[in-house]
Amino acid sequence: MFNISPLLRKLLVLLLFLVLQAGAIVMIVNNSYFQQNAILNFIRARQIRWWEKQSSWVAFTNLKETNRQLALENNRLLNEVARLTDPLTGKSLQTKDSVALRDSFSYIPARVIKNSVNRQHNFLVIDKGSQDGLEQDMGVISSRGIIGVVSHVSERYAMIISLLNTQQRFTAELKKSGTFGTLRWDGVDYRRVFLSEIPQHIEISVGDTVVSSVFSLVFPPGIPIGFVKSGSLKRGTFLELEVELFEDFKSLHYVNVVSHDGAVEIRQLTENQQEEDL
Amino acid sequence: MNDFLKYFFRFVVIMAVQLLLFEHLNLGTYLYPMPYILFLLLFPSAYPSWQLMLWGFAFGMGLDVLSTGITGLHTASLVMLGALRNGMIKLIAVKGDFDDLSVPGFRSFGFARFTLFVLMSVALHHLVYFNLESFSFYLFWQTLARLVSSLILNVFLILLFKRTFFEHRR
Repeated sequence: MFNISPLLRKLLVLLLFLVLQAGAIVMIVNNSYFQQNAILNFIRARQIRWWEKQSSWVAFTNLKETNRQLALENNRLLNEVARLTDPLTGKSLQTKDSVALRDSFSYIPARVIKNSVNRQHNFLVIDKGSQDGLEQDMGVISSRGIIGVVSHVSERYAMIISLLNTQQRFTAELKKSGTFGTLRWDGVDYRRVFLSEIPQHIEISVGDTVVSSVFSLVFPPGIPIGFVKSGSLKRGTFLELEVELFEDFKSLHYVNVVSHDGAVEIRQLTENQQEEDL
Repeated sequence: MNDFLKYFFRFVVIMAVQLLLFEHLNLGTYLYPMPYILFLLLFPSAYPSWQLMLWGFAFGMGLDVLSTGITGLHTASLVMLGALRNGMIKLIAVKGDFDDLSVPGFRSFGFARFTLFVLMSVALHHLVYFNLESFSFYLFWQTLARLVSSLILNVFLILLFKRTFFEHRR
């Protein structure tokens, strides 16, 4: 077929190997989770429809459990309303002083149509997109904890970087002391994550609740995430706590996307500050 | 051309099974079913490795684009396997043992040697895949555990599928 020497042939094969492997490495390094070009969006739209069908079946078979969770959440919300309603006037509490909650969070309910827990970098796809008001960097929560951050938005769907992604970090704090640290997943067990950078002097007992931090821009403060299972001293300076999650990512079907009014403003402010510092 | 059509048909079917079934099985961190590796193992023993690499590249690329996760992982692993597959066949073959036209399988290689061949191929694929996925030696032992457990699962699946669907009945 080809009239070339075996040596040259070997070199050509080696060259082809290097070219193809380089192509693959370039793809990995560019790390384009959700490429925005037209062909991919075209494929995704069809694929997502399939995932949607599939997940609606799974959701159907899990209706009982979902119902139970909704009932629990309803109950919790009713209690909250009762607490916030002024017992004398019967109207809901309205503070006019400076302590008033300026930040307002609003929630957009969505259904999970694709999810994974067995990778090092896990993602979710939900059935709400830019036409429902979703934007990049919005937080995603469920009734039992934080789920992740919106990474890409198309018209009708959004891709979410899961909490179960080794490249993602979140801020969380201990409910009891208010000490905040970095929440990250180590890629091992989908039921537990690690809260690190907790100072040594903080007293911690097993079972302490970990909640989302006040300093987080994407999540409303005080959302329970999990409880402390164990702790160890890292590099002799900081505590690292093993946190068991309340949420079971394997049976996750309904989530809420958090839209935070002040987030953009705060981000701009800090960015301006950083530019000035430079 | 006839052969090309056959390979292309296999390409589509194996890709579909991987995407529609195995990508949706969440078996936990330690088990990632990837029986699609069988695709490259089904080519005849004397199939030129540059063509194997191209097939591997195309298949991996398709899989990377159509599934979630980091693009390029499957591609890199399959190209590596395509490049070294024929070398591994030479390694386990005894000279003059079988002709170049035969397809790797239980009948042509014998059970023990075919299992060894599959084990080596999947191990090579997994070495590339899991190391690129974690991209550091920080979690060395965990990566190794994931590699070994997935390796056992996938070798089993591949032997099973090979036996069930791709052995010629005589």
